[in-house]
Amino acid sequence: MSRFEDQLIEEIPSLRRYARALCGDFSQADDLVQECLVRAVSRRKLWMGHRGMRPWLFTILHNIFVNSLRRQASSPVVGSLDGIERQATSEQDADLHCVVSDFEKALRQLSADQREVLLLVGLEQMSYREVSKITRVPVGTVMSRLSRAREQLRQSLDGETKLAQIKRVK
Amino acid sequence: MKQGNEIVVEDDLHKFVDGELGEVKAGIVAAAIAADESLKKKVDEYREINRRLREIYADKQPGPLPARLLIAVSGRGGLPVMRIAASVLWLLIGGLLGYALQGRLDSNEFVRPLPVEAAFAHAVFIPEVRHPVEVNAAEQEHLNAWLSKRLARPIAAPDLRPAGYALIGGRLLPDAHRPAAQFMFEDSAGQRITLYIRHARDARASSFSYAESNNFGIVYWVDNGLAYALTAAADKTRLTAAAQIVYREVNP
Repeated sequence: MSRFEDQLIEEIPSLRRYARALCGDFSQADDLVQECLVRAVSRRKLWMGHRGMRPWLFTILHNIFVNSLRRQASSPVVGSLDGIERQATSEQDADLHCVVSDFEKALRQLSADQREVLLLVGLEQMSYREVSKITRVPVGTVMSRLSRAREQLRQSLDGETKLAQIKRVK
Repeated sequence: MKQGNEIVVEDDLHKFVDGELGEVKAGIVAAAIAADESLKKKVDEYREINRRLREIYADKQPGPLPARLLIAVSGRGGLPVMRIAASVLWLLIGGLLGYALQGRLDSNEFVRPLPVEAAFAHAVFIPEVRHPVEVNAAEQEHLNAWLSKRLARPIAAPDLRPAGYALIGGRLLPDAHRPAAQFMFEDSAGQRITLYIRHARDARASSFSYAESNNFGIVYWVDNGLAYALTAAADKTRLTAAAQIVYREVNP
C-alpha cells in the first residue's frame, strides 16, 4: 500500500473517535467516516502532502457532517435497527454510568457548531487556528463557540456536584 | 480580574487551558488564577470537561476497524449510487436464495439456484418493448432449430395457448458454462411469462418446485437432463398449470 493509504488508515481511529463524539452513535459515525474516506481517496490528487493528512481529513469530515445536518433538516429521519438496539442498551446502562450520561446529555444538547469546536479542541487537541481552518470560521468565532459550549457543560458539572453533596448529607 | 497592569478576560482562561498563550501571558494568567478562587474553579472545570471528553471517547475504541472503512480506503468504495445499487442487487439475490432454499436443498441446482437465474433473466427482458426477444414467433421453426443447435439438445417453444399465453419469441442466454434459452409468452392482457431452459447441474429428474421473489413466482423442475423454470407475475395455480403443459409437450 502506498504512503497515502497508510496515512489514511492511521487516521481512521481519530476520525471515528471524533465522529462518534459528534453523532453520539457508532453506526452513524462510521457512515460519516466511510464517506469521508471515500471522498479522500477520490480526491487524493488534491491532497497536498505538506499540509498534513489530519487537518485535510477533518475538513472533509466537517463538510460531510454539515451537509448531513442540512439533509436531516429537510427530510424525515429514517431510523436503523442498529440505532434502536443501541438506545436500548444505553438506557439499560444508564444506571451504571449515571454521571457520564448527564455530561453526555449536556454534550448532545449543544448546537452542532458548538459541539464541533468543543470536540476539536478538547478531544482532538487542535489549536484554535486549525479549528478555524477546518470549520471555515474566524478564530474569534471559534472562541465564542468554545466558551458557550464550555459554559453549558459547566452547568451540567455543577448539577452533578450538587447531587453528590446531597448524597453525602444523607 | 486585574493582575498588575494586565486585564485577564474570559477568553484568556480558555486559551490558558488549551495552551494557546505565549509564555509571558500564560504566567500572568496563572498568577491571576492563583489569586482568585472563582477563576481557579472555572479553569478546573474547563479542564474537567476536556478530561471527561477524553475519558468517554478517547479510551474506548469500539473494537477493530470495520471492513467497510478499509474497503473505502482501498478505493473500492465506489460512488454512493453504485453502492446503493449493489446492495439492492444483493438483497434481491438474498431474497431469491432464501425462497429457493425453502425448496429442495439436496440438489446441486442450488450451487447457482435455477430460480435465481430464471428470475433475473425474466426481470431483464420482460420490460423490453422493442427487443423482448432475439427471434420472434413468426420465425418459430428457425428459433427452435437455432436454440436446439446451441444447447445441443432438441428444444422447442411449447404451445401455451391452452393456458392463455401466446408465443412472442425467444433468445439465447449465457449460463455458467454453456448456452441457455429463454422463451417469452404474453397473455391477452399483455402479462408476460418466460420459460428458461438450461442444462441441469444434477441430471436427476425432479418434481415441480415453487419459489417466489417480491414480484414473480417461479415454477422449476429438472427433466431428462434439462432444467426448466417458468417465471411470471402470475399466481401459483396459473403458473403450475402452464408448467404442466410444458412438461406434457416435452413428454408426450
